Amino acid sequence: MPDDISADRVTAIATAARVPLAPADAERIARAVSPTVARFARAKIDLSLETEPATFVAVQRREIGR
Amino acid sequence: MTDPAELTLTEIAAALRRRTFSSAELTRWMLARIGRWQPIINAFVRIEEDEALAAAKKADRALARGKAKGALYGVPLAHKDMYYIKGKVSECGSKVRKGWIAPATATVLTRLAAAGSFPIGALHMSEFAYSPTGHNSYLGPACNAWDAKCITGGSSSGSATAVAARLVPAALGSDTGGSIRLPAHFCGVTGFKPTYGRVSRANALPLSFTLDTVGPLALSAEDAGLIMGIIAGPDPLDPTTLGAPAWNARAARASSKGLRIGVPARFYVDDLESDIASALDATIVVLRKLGAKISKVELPDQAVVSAAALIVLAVEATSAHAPWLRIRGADYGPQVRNRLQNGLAYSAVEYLEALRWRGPALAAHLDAIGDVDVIIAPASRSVAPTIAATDLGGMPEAEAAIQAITRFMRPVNFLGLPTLVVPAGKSKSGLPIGMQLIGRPFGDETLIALGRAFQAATDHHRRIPALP
Repeated sequence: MPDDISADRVTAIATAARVPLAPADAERIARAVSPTVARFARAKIDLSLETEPATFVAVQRREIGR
Repeated sequence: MTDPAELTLTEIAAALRRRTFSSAELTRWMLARIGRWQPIINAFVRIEEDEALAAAKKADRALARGKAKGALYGVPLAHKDMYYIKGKVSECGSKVRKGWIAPATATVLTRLAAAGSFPIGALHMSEFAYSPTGHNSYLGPACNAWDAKCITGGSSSGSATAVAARLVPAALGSDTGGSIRLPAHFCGVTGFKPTYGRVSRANALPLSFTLDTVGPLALSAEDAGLIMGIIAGPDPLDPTTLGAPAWNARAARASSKGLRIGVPARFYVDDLESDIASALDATIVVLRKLGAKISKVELPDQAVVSAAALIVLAVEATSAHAPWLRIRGADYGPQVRNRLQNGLAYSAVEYLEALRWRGPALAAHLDAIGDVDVIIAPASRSVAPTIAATDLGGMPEAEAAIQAITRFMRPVNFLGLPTLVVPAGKSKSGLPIGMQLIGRPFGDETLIALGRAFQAATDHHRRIPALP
């Protein structure tokens, strides 16, 4: 995944979501979120194929009664 | 009449049971105090004088007949205006929901009513609970009871400043990215964000279903525990609560001697203002005197955890608001509209990678802290900034400013951890400082017990702001 977000990408996702967006807003959004996307991408997180969102609950509930 | 401003929720409830004062006397006193403070701090969005007095008189009749049941019998409370009451207005701090009538009652309010409390009004909040400052372009800002030029923090802005000013002895807030903890820190009250899944969110405004939690802002850890004992527990209307343990009141009163407390080696201790750093050191000294074992902990990279939280929060909030963004975008305040639009930037894969990483990230956190019970961390690197300095509206720099304010908040939400914020000092300018006590999953009661011990040894939580 690219570490930087482009205004074109923001516009494409907004169009797919059917949310109207001015070109200036797409530029602003790209600048606002790029640091977050880059920070997460740089971590190069390696998830196993079997990991799903509910894995969180399994980890969390192991602590019950600790 | 004993001055109720000097009393905690626990003490007020006991005084009502002893009939030291009546519920009607208490309610009239609170209404008068609200009348004096409201023009200064804008804590309430609605004051329900007639209904509250009627409920108080009814409570007094039951108390006189010995029919009063419930830990909060006859106590007037007010909550963030995002907890629905069937048939009543709940605007959620927004123009979009102006005049909206709730179709059902929030489980937490049903439980508080069953414990004998009744509403005296509804409290200010950030628009749709999506701002950490307390600014609201629709309602105007809530102002800090300690200095009305300063922000309250958000999004539980009214809850924090109303409790600080002793307008109500406790109030519900919500915490998705710091919205209980940050206002508790800025306003000098005790705030409790429970473990994700411990308290039902049914019929409360959602922001991010993966991260949303419901909890109290109160005058003491004991009061927070009292509220948790009432609102925590499984609710079929909120499946995230099913399977979570019932509240253990005994554990919430247990000795804290021998608890293992970790002090982060980085991130939470980086670039602190000197007053915050001093308060952290002083808090550690008190905890050590209480018999806690203090050690340094190396946490996993919190900046990555924070980034993951931002991705999940942004996409889920945007998803929830997409129907209105399509047709009523102009009805949002500029800052919240911008933040909601930010969620359009993330791909589905990025969102799901962040979400799938939540379990492994929690496992890594638990591995890193080993047998540590509680981590202590400042809530912010600074005390409350001014309203003027943070009034950025829809300006491009607003997002970076918001992320800076919430820097120490988001990892806790992503990991679903319980956290208690306790007042722990004040700055040279007299503004409150709060410390986060971050627990293990379902270690909520341990935090309440530790907070009680800390507050038995300190008096920061007993300070009361003076009416300007």
